[in-house]
Amino acid sequence: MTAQVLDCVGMGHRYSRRGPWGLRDCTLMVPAGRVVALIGPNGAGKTTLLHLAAGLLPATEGSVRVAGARPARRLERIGFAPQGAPLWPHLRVRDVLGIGAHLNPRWDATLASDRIAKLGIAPRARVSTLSGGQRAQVALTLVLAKRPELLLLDEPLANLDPIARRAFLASMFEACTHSGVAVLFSSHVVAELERICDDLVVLADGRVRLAGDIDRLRRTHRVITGPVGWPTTTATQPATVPNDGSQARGWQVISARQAAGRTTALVRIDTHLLAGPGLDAAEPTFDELVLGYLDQHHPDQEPSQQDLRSQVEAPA
Amino acid sequence: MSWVIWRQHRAQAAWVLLLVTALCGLMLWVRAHATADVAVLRAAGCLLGDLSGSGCQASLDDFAVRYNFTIPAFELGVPLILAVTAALVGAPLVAREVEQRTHLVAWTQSVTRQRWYRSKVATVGAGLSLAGLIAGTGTYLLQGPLSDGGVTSSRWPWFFSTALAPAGLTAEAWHLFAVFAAAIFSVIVNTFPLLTASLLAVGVVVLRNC
Repeated sequence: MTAQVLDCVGMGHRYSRRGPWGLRDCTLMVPAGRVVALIGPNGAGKTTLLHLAAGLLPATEGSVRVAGARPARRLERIGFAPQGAPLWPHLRVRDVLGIGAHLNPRWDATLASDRIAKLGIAPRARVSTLSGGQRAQVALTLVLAKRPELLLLDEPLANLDPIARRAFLASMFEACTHSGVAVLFSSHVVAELERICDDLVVLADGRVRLAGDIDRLRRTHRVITGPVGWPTTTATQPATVPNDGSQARGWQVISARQAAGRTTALVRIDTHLLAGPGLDAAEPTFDELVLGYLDQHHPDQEPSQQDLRSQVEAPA
Repeated sequence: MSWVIWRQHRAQAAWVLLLVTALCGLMLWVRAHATADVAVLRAAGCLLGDLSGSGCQASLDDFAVRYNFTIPAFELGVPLILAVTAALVGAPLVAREVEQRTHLVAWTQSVTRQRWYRSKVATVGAGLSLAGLIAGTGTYLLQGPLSDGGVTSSRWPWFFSTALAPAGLTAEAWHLFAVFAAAIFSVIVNTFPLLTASLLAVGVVVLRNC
């Protein structure tokens, strides 16, 4: 069994006794060497999850373990880059790296200096004079040189232009490839994550909606396009209904949209289901998979699955 | 940890050093003038307890007119300036980190949050206490000639202390109180405006001084 670098079981956090939950019932395991994309809309709980994993917030319910212990006892193994790459603006880059060197016993000074030199950032430059991309790179260097086992990056691509985003992702991927570090990486920028991420976690309304290996998730989902009125077409009814009375196996509509007289739905399939007459089925792209789940109606807050189908059935 | 604190707060340390140096320089300059004037009074036999000379009352009155400003300037001014300085250094100790969100970086390094906070408060508090001790020494040195000239007598309670330690330690206690109050206050209400936190800390210190 692969050792889990991050192991969350039923983890949740409530910001005040009577306040709303930032995150609930989050069960998530991240083994070494995996790069996990954490995707969700604003307020979905991404930052809360990362702060819980970094030991910045206590879990109100459930448990969170990093390398088998509470995050606060594993600080030397956690590298956390907060959203917006906040760094001390009046300090020079070499001072920021010096802080890393003095506060971390596993600090790799060679890695830090080489990386900064390779990026063309002057060690004497003050943080306040750096561009957003350079500051993000210095923040990433600060956590990489710590030689963590778990790298937590909160929206590292925010405020970066497309070229800086690509450079950042490339350098992050290069840095992580050989180190075997597990990376949990939140982002709004869906398009560029597929190339570098192994796993996907979709969060919405403070709950995990989807989690797993990206290739497997794509294999177990289909984007099916059919006429208006679908998916009640008999050809796409559940393939089998177990005798034991458990939930029908076959497919589950995650979300559906109508456009140009056609209904396009993201469907989760448990078996190799063939689409019926008049239906076009294709493996979803990474974007379709993510956006389909972000569009999902949730049983606890939104219309039920049956209601959803009813909505889809209704005339446009 | 000390290196980190030094790098983060060396600019503040330089400003406090400059301020204390200026205050001490000013007090020593006044002391030098007062000492010279007291020497004249002594030569004329007009010091308190030895009013054998003629026209002593006029000379003493003249001394009092020239040095009466020292009471508001140094008895009240120096502690107030130091308390304001301490609060302005102490209040943003944590609040600025929270404001700039750098606490998220600091608290996820390999030292615990408690150690980070303790080290910061202790180091900065010790530095400010040292500044208070130096300023207290300055006021003590000023006490001599002014007391000899009869200006201070009952109007300057601070100068009743006859040893170095009480004067310095009083200032030190104020500093520590201001720093701790402001720093802790800024943690408790981390979204509270910095200026308000500083003013409250100063207010408490000044009220204690009344």
